[in-house]
Parts: sequence; structure tokens; C-alpha cells
Amino acid sequence: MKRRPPVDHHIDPETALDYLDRRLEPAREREVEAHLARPCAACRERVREFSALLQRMRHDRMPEVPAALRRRALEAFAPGEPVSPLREAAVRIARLLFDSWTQPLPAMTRRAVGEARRLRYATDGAVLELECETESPGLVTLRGRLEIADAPLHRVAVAVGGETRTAWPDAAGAFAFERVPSGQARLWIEGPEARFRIPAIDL
Amino acid sequence: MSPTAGPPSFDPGEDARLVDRCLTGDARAWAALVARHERLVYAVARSYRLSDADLGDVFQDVFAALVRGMPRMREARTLVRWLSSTTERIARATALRRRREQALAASDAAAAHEVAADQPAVEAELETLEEQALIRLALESLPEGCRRLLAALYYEDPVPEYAALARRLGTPIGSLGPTRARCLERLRRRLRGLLETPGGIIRPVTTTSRRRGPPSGLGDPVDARPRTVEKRR
Repeated sequence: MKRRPPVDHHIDPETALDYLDRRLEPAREREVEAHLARPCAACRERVREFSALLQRMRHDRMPEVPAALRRRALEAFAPGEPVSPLREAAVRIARLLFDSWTQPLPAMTRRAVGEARRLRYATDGAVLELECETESPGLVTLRGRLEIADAPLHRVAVAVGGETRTAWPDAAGAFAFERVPSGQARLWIEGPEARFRIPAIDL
Repeated sequence: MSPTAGPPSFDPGEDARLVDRCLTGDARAWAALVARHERLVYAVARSYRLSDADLGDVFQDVFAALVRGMPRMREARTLVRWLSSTTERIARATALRRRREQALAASDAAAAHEVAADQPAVEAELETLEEQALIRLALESLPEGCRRLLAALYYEDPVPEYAALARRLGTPIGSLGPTRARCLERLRRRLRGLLETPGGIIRPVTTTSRRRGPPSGLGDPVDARPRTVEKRR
């Protein structure tokens, strides 16, 4: 238990910390609480921030990283080989492999998969499949699957009119944009393995 | 890296400078970058309870992704957010793959299909881990006396007695309380200053950016929050 001057103005850091640690005498604790009940935003904020800080530190049990793992992280970098941003700057345009609007599916297949428009694109090391299904007049659901290494690390973005949406594929590379306004859409992919876009499509 | 060791830098631009140096092939900058963030990556990956082999692969994959992504990184000062969300996605994908394999090996096709919908939810924990990583970075920027005292009081388990700690640090026992208060106040101010710095190492979770049309580079790391679909107007 500690004795300190009464809390007449602001709560000093040591008092705030002792209050949070319940190390103050009861009378002193009441003084602090009375001060906190006043419209003193600075002291309330200080106590709140200390409380959050101490809680985070006390519950931090981040373990030491094993040396073997650290070595693997260090080996991911090739020393002395500058990485040129210019090399990475080009945005590839994926080529269209299939469009069910121009290459209609057999009737039996159409019955099986429905009337949704299907598109398939490819670029170096990546394949993108899209399915555009009209939900209601003016609204389209766009589903897709990205076949690429580390698909979940690639962001898919679609822009229609003045609206841009982004999605992250799941572990199987699947993603979906629901109720997208119809119109001419641009779609692009960004990630560590690839960065490309497809030619504009009409949804 | 213990809380009392490591580079004493908490400048919000430190990560950006290290990334720039890495792009010139500077291996020491890469080592410093790994040292600053390895605990966060390790802690996030561990939260998926992966096997040691998978944990090692995820750890390496995250840093390999960073090597590949650095040239396109727009805002390296948000690296904490980028690393935590990238680790989360790689670890989640690995955990799902393993669970599917186990379900298929057990000839339980139905369970294998249900795995995707039953993903581990660590998003809330992710934010805590990011904040803890940030506090450690801030702690490392304090003077050695503060680092040693706060590390002993808040990172050691069990917490040492004040008398033993005073002996270890070579300071009078009566000075520990006031010193602790001064050090924590400095730590609090540094954290607050960082969070108020636009484009600091980390941004509030609610931060989003407006964008029209295809971007010219890799997405802002702050956008790399684990979300299925995100809508922007």
C-alpha cells in the first residue's frame, strides 16, 4: 500500500498503474475513481490505454522462433540479387480460351450446368474460370475459380461502373461476387504468383 | 528475438526502408526484416495447430511471398498487417488441406466437403497478435533499462519478485515502481504516436481505401484483411 498526495488534478502514470494493479489503499482508490467519474477525458484515456497495454503484454506468450525456422526464412532471400520493380511492373492480359456465348455448349451440357455464361482464361501459370449468372434484371452474380499456386494469396477485383469490389479466393481458388450491377466489367488479379487482367466483359 | 534484444527502431518508416534495401539485394536488411516480424508470423501460423513440418513450410512460404511481393509493395509501412493476414491465409489453406486429406483418408467424403465451411476462426486473435507484435517493436525502441525492466515484469513467467529483480537490474527496489511507470508511459506514448501517424506500421482495422479501376501495383497490404467479399463504393 502506498501513500501519495490526493488526486486533485490529473492521475499520474504511477497512480494509474497502481490503480489498475489494485495496489492502492481503499481511500486512495476511491479518490482515483472519483476523479475518473469527472469529465476528465485525458485521465480516463490514460487509464484505458494503460489497461489495454498491460493486458496485451501480460497475455503475450509469443514463443521464440526456432533457429531452424529462422534459417528457412533467411534462405528465402537471395542476397546480392537486386529485384527490379520494373521486372514486376507489367500487367499481363489473360487470353480467352472459352466463352459459352460464342461457343455454345451442347444442349445436354447446358441442361446440366444451366444457362449461365461461362468463360475461361489463361495466362502464364494461371487459369481463371468465370460463371456469370443473372440474378434479376440489372444484377449478376459472378463466381469464379482461380487455378494457381497459393490461390488464397491472390486478390480478385472487379469494377463495374463506379463500383469496385474485391474478394480473396478460398483454399480451392473459389470466389464469388454477388449481386454485381450489370454492365461492362473489368476484372483483375493481383498476388505473389501472378498479376493479370482479363479483357473487359459485358455482364 | 527476445523483447530485450533486436534493433532499437520504432520509426514507422523502418520497414519501408528495410524493404527498399532488400530490393537492392541487401541480405542484412532482409535479416533485420525477418528479426522484426518473425514472432508475429510464427504466432499466427501456430494458432492453426499445424504439424511441425507444415508450420515450417508456412513460415517459409510467408517470407518467400514477402520476397516476391516486395517489388510491388506500395506501402511497406503497413507490413505488420500484410504479414499477419498473409500468414493467416497460408496457414488456413494448409490446415484445410490437411483436414481434407484426413477426411478423405478416412473415406469420409461428406466430411471432406464440409471442411471448407468449418474453417478455424482466428480473425479476432489476429488483431491481438498484431497489437502484441506492435508493442514488442515499440518496447525494443525504449532505452535498455526500460526494456529489461518491462520485459521482466510482463514477458517472464513467472514474474520475478521485485527484490530479485532489483538485484538483477542493479537498482534500488524503491525505484522499480516509479521506473516502471515512467517506462510504461513512454511505451504508451510511442504506441499512441504511431497509431496517430497516417500510414504507420499498422492502421486501424476499419481503414479502407477508395479505388477506381485497376491499380498500378500490388494491393496496399492493409487491404489484405482476411475477407471473402469486400464491397467498396
